[in-house]
Amino acid sequence: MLWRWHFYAGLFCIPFIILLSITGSLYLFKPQIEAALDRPYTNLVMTGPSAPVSQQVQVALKHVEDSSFKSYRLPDGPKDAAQVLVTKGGEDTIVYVHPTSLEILKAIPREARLMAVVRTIHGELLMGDNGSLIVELAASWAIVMVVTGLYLWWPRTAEGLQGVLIPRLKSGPKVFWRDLHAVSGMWVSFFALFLLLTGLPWTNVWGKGFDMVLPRIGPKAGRLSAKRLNRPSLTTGMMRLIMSPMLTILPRVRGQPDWLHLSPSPRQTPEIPIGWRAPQLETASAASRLPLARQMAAKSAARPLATSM
Amino acid sequence: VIDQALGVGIAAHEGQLFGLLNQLLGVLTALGLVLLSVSAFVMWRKRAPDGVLGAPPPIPDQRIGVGLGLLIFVFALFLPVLGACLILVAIAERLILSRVPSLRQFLGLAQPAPL
Repeated sequence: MLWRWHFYAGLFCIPFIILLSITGSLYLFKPQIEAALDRPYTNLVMTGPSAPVSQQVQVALKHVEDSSFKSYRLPDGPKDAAQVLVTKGGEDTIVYVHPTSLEILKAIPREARLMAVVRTIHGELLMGDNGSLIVELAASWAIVMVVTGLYLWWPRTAEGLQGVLIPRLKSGPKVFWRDLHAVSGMWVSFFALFLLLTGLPWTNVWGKGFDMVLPRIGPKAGRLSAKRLNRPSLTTGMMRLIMSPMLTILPRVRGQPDWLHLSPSPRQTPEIPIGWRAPQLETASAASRLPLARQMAAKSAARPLATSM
Repeated sequence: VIDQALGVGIAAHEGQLFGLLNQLLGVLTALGLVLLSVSAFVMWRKRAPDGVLGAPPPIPDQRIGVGLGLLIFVFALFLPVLGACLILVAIAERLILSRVPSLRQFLGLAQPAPL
């Protein structure tokens, strides 16, 4: 009977499993992919000292009409474009500003970035809450698939490891495909189950239900909401918390960018809070200023900065 | 503790918990799942006769034992969307799917119990 369940569930799950596997794999490499996508906006040609942050923000605000300021991301390096997050009518746009010339290098809606689109496919199949429900349903059934699959695979007649832990690839096509499925399934099951279970907090039904149950079982209740999980900031925050001991060992492993939240109102002049990585930024740019100033005179005339989008 | 476990789970799910190895594990798992899907599809197409879905044949008059029944109940509680789906499918099978002979044959369902 479990085989029948495994079969019907499989028919439904397979397309989603393939889609989620592909988008999930892409999204895993978000830091690397985004760094590669942002490479054109790093190592810029500098023509003097960086303009004050307030000016960079003003330029960004002017670029997207009637927008208000949301946050400013400190550049990773002194020659990187500043990323200013502005918002207008509920849509956030990231504006890349050249730190010295104040040129707008790029402006892209936050949700239109490649990785944001991949995340939306992975989480809701580009269909909003309905898609999220389908993903949750497929994930729930996939959990059943793993469990019933393991039960079906469970060796009842001991004949050694062949066909249980090691696939028999040379015993005819039927055995080949059966073993490929059963043996790889066994190896993958633990990790697949882990991903399926850890994915549940993102879902609407399970995630929201969990939020409601959490206050009753944990003292630090209700701080995590499923909706908030969709926003990178909380995830980033938690990741940093967890990873902080590791970060000291592996300085190159980084989570998502630091969005430095400055004044939320567009009227106020944003300022970098003193002490918040600002000294590091200062010294870095000061150090690179001297040799650059001379280089630039020659280069900037020959190669105008690319302005895309 | 739950917060922390959740945080670790989320970070690991996103491949951010322990660097490149975490990412590679994720990709390997995804590849494994694709392999499972493909091999499942091949096995199904090799086995399925033309014109029907090729579901495993139902075992006549098999009752669900207490243990399995409890297990299904726990799963349906833990995964509410699964539970709702089970109820919907059970109703659809009872009322429609197994009462239309061509559908029943295509899906490989058992003869319906009289209402």
